[in-house]
Amino acid sequence: MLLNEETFTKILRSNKGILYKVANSYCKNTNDREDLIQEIIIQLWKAWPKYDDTYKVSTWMYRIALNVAISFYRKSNYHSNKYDTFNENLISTVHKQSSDSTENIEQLYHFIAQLSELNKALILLYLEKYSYEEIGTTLGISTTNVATKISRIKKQLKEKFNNN
Amino acid sequence: MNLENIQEEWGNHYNTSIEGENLVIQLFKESKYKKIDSNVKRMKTQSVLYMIFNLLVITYTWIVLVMNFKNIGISIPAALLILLSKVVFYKNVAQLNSMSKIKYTEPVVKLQKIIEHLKLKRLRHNQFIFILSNIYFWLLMIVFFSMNPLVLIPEIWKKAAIVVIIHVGFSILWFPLSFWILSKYGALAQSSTFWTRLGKNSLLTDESANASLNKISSFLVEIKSFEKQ
Repeated sequence: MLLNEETFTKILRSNKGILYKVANSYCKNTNDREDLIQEIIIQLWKAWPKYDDTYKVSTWMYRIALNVAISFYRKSNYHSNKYDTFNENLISTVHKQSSDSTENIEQLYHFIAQLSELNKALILLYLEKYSYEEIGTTLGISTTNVATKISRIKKQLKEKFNNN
Repeated sequence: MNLENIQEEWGNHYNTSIEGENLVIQLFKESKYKKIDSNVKRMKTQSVLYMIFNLLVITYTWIVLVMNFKNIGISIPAALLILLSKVVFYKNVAQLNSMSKIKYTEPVVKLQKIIEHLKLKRLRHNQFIFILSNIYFWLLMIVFFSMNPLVLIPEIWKKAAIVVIIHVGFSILWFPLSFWILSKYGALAQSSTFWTRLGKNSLLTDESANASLNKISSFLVEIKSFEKQ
């Protein structure tokens, strides 16, 4: 793998969605999100020379991004369980799609924000269509455990939206 | 809402955003120049500062020990001070070593456990220093001012009555005084950025390690239950 800045920048450009989705799921205001994205980029850049190409770049990025996000979330004194200002510029950079679609994504972010840090990681990987095995490897838990947790989260989501 | 139905929409959002692309590249460029305050970096700074301080103390104490080798009133406290400083020094080296081994490419659950255990060690290390601080302080005084306790203690003993009265008086005053300081500090910490910063940057508070024992243990319990089905 050619270890230059240009290649790294190209990878960042083509996988920027990972950074935004993780930052939106773990932080509730713009400043925290930008700080988190920057911290993830630093760790990606540091880990870049040791990138193992047996993994997909996106899987490698997700693993680092989630690890940094969970640590970042835990150190941030400003986060709270309340969901008061989460919408502040939530997905300002989302590709403009139909309003129904944007609304669905917003609702999903609201739901994700209420999950625990580790369940957030799980659902983010699931939404990216990773297999249960890949999710298990990234998180360090068994495949059956992944299946059980995802089915629980789906149930929670269903109940939540039925109640609304 | 069904998660399977939304996976497609989820996968596509952000993919074609030029604005988002520019922001990521801008943040990457800035990150090379901007100092990022990370949890691990702060703990590393603490460890390095402790190590520098301990090295200075150890070096000076060795000089005092060699010069006063036959004077047991000074040489024994000096030897104890060297021992204590070395324990703190090696604990810091061990922490720095563990921190340098942190790899963000590890599986999430494994790495989070490592980080929480590191924070736990840092807090216990701070508590260890705090508990020994009184002994450490007196050892430092003896070594730095070459005060011989074998001469001082009999002198103090002669004035035992006054010493006892002062100590009792101090003990009576200590509790209201400490409560007053704590309440004052609490109020100041809420309203002043200086006090908040002091709490974070001082080397012995839980905040300085960005953690508290309760938070760490509850997250470790959460990780354990996450690992279970």
